[in-house]
Amino acid sequence: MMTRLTLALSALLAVSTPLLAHHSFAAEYDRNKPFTVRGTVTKVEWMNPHAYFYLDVKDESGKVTNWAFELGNLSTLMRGGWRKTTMKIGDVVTVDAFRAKDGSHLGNGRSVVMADGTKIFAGSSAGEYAGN
Amino acid sequence: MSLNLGFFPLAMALASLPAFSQAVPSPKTGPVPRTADGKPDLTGYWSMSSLRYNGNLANEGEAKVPYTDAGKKAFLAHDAKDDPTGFCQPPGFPRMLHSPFPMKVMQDKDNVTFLYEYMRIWRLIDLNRKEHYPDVSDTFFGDSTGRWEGDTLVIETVGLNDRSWLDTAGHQHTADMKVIERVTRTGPESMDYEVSIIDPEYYAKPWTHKGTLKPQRATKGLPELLEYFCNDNNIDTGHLVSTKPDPAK
Repeated sequence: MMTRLTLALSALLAVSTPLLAHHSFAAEYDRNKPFTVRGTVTKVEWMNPHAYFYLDVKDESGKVTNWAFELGNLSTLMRGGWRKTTMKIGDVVTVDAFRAKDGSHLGNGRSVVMADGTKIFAGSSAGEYAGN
Repeated sequence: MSLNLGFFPLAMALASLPAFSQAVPSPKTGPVPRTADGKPDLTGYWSMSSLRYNGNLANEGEAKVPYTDAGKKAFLAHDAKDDPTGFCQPPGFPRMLHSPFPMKVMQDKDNVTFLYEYMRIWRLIDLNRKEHYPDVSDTFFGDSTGRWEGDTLVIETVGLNDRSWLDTAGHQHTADMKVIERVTRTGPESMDYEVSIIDPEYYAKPWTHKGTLKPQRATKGLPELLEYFCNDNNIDTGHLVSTKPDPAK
């Protein structure tokens, strides 16, 4: 049976190893624009080349905006402990992310804090060579 | 929730401790496994992460790249938003080797076969044929022949196209490129892998990179190789913006 430490190690390797982007990170995201939002999960796309999830985020005026967040590829996520059922519609989560350069409501997830307070890596490709 | 995520905080904490990575055991040493005919046995699941160069072949800096003028000009002209793999085109060869995902190697007296997780790509290396097929040209993976030089498998690949890139950083090549791989199993859990890019129009001398492969361990509940189809949900393309290299770097 896999021990807790072994599980931690497998997750660590996924966290500490630069992750493959099938495209340049810098062509899509701005590493100088990190941001954090909290919202309710409205959709999860468990597919390659990136998993995505969507959050309804309410601002101070009460206006709700739906944001998309890119995660890593399924191989990296699964070897790090994610499964399709890890995040479900209706979960309230907090995301650290980098904003998309095109100004859309899109971010590249760096980490996610789940409703129960556990923080999980998001398989971000931000550590990858950025092409500029 | 079907997954206990309690290990993640521990993993995040350990990630900040450099000493922890030193606790990962080194590969076992011992005799090189061999096939029945005495050749080094390359078979098995192998992690390719040591061949990845962080997506940039120029990991020692742009000044160390043996560019010709045309090669430098081609690099500076590329735009990261046009990366072929961003549109789920095959990585081509040798960019295939940048994948951080594992591969399986199969071997018999006639062929060595590579099964790559990334994009579910395979390569079949003919060990008996000395000449390349004359009519294979402008392909993503070319035509490969292999031969044994002592305990090293030497693979020569030609017939490539000029549409693939060498890496995520955008280094370019011509369709006349030849790629030489030298694969040497060095022990029960190690395999040296050397790749030389020979493309005189863009690079004044062979551009050679080396790594040491280690066995791929399966994650509990999962096989060694997982499914990866790039074009299942490739919604990035609508968000890519022009990103050119900095000529001063």
